[in-house]
Amino acid sequence: MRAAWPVRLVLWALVAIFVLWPGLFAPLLRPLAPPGMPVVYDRASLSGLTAWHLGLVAAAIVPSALMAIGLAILVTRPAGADFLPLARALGGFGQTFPPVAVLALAVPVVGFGAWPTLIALFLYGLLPILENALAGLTGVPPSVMLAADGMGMTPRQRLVRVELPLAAPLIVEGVRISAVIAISTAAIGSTVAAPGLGEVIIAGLNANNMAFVVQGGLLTAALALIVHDALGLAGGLVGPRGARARTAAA
Amino acid sequence: MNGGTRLLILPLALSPLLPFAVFRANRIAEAEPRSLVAALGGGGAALAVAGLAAMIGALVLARRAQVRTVVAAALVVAILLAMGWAAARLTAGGPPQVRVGPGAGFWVALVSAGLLVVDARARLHPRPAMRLAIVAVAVAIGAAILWSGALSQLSIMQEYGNRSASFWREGARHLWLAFGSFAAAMLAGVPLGIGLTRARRASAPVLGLLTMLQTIPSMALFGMLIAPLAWIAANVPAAHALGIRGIGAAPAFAALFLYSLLPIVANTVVGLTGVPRSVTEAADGMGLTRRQRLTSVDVPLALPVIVSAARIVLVQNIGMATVGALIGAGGFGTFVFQGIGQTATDLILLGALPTVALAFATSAVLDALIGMLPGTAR
Amino acid sequence: MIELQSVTKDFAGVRAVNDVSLTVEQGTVAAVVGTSGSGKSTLLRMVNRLIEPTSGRILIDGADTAGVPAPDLRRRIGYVIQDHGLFPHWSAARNIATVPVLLRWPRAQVRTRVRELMEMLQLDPDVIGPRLPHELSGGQAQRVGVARALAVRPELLLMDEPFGALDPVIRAQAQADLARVQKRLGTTVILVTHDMAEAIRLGDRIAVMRAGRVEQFAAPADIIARPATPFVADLLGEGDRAFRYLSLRPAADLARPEGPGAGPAAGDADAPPLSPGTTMAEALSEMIWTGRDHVRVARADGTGGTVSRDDLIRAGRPE
Repeated sequence: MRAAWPVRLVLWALVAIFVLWPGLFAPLLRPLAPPGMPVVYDRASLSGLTAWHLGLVAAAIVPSALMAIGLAILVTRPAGADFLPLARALGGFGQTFPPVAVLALAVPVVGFGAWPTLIALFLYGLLPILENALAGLTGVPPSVMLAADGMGMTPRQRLVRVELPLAAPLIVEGVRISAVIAISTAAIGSTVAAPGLGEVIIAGLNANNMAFVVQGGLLTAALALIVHDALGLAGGLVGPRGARARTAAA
Repeated sequence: MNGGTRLLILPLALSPLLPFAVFRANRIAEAEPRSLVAALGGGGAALAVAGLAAMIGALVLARRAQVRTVVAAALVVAILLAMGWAAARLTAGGPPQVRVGPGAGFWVALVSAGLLVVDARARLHPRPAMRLAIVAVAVAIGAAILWSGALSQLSIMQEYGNRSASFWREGARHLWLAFGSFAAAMLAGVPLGIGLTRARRASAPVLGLLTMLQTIPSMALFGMLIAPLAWIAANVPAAHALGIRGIGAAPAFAALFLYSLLPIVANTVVGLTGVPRSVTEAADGMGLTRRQRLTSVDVPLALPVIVSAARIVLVQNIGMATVGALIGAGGFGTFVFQGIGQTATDLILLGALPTVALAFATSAVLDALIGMLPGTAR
Repeated sequence: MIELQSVTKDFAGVRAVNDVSLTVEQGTVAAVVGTSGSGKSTLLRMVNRLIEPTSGRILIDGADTAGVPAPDLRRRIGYVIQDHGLFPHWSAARNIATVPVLLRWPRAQVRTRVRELMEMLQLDPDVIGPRLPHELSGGQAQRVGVARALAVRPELLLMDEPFGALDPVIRAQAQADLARVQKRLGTTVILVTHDMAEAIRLGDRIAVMRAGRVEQFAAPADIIARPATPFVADLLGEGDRAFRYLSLRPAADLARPEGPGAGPAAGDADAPPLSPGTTMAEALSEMIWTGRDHVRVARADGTGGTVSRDDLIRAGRPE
């Protein structure tokens, strides 16, 4: 999706205004709320919940990405090649595991709050990134690997200068998939008392207040779209198009 | 012995040191760990450790992946049966509200053994028909263990015992949500995909819109569909008569339908545009009409790609249908969220485990089917 | 000087290269010819230690290559492969700079060197330099690959089917460019190819390999005149052996001085002389096509001469 810049900026601005001054939108939401009920979620600030939501996602996905990339590098080196089939099978296997199940299964182990959500996001985040990083690292053309060795690159130089840059677009795509799923799972995390925008939706469902459901839903959806779009842009920067921009700058 | 096996045997070998079972005075009481010796008795524990050692030995020595697959699968069954036995021993003579569930040692052993099956199986490269047979055997063994009553004293089975009627009702609802919305999405998505290959200019915006829809978190979409469906129910009597309400199955069904569209439409387009030009030209050259070409050449050749979309959609729907319980749509998610509400681990598992099993089985069956389609080189 | 001493390589019990001994003199081109699976690429990759020999030694200027860390060794040896293996995420200029950057040359020196190489290979540095590999034509990519291999003025250049992916017209041009660059730089080259015509055209010496062994290692003229085994003869193709032999020498070698009374010019005194580089094979072909029995040939020193058909036909049969 190549959203044009004006659309992108308008979306960012709308979300920022909504998060900071939700009262401005109260007239729009009023018809959805039952008479006498609050229109804007009042038990916590939307900006705080948004920050928690994104913070949880970042706190889970960053270590997740580092670990998944590390694992992918490990199993694509000669010393770790033996683990490649297992890593591949695990990657495919984990994609089949429903994110809600990961969350539900984490609760018995670590209890309620932010932790089960963080663990579920971390674990579920690993697999798409691992799978994409493996695809990227094993997809480097044999002639390019041969040339890198033939030019006298050490294994580490080949990894840093050739393999990782070539795998980067796919790796970023994996991070993108993981991040979008994490935003979705973090919302469900509110059912186990993780702070985040899911709280607003659940409060709305419990109190039958559609205004809450809609504002929580719209904000969560907007966050997911923004992150999806931003990581798509990042993917463009590390791809071949970005390579030329970097060369031109050098 | 390969690296994967080596890596997994370590936790497997150490698992007897962890508590095998947990004991609760009632279903929501604090869990007390029970070691392997406490769970199975001295003799039983010795037998279990000896059996485990023998199986590990067999895994280490076995050269062929077939042998390792069978041994690891047998180990999974043995661990399950040991758990059932432990539950029977620990609940014997106690008050009826006592609950015995799996402990850390059980989970470590079960997951390691399961991954050993996965690792060995990954090196087998069985043919599609063989893969179907493996799924059938696994389902049959699982069913046999559950029906035999060997696990009946296990806490999760006691939760099931208290709710067997609603379990099957929610299960049927879950299947209906996941498969029904998939079927509807196929009916709408495949023609839409075919249309997009004709109207190339519409392709990018439509796929962009569907990508956007798919990006929206499930809970947000489920919630946001309540309001419009409530409006429809209130204003369209026919819809109301069909059972469409703002809360319940209708918004869940609609959300799953919308999520399903992207993979189906996108793969239909990819599959159809991937038909080699030489083939379509040959078809045209032999005088096939456009419709004949579509039904006898294009669609059959695109079928593997379309069926792989079906796999993605079904696995995704089975997982997401769980979330539907939050808006009263029913399904296995009902138990998960009830369990979370009551802090009853076993109830959570009663909802989560069938969901996971269903997703795995569906994925395995469809993978095998994809392999069996003509034109897929495997 | 490159010396291979009883080099052998086994892959999982299969002998890919079997007791090969060769010496390549400084500044010459050795062409290794063979069918696929003959072990020629394996032999080449043992020189820069992409593959370690099972036994035997490889010496460069008397020093055993096994004594140098492999990456250091490879940076000193140029390497060109069939699919050019350009790094897809780097521009043509950055690709050429690969080894200088690995060796931490100062940035200005790298830039100068890249320009110099691109100009030598007739690539416009300002136009081609910033392009990514997928934006280059096959011939351009091939030349960038050669420039990359020559970046640090290696004394030895290894080429593995370097022209294999090019169409015939561009291939002939690329071969001519290589010959020109090699003469100018005096680089020692080991070239692997399955094309005997290419080996004859470029090689000072040709090694014919089959099933891991070298069946013959000799100058092109010797290979054509006296193939050591039936396999070598097969590879040469019996049909155009004489033409191959004639293609080795310039027609000017047979030219007789022109002058009054130097014989009849068959009424073609007006026809322009053939260029100095024309081979005997080309001169004979010209005579057959135009129905003449003499042609005029220009010599490098500016004088002219006449070549007769009978002399050419005699020259096509080795003594």
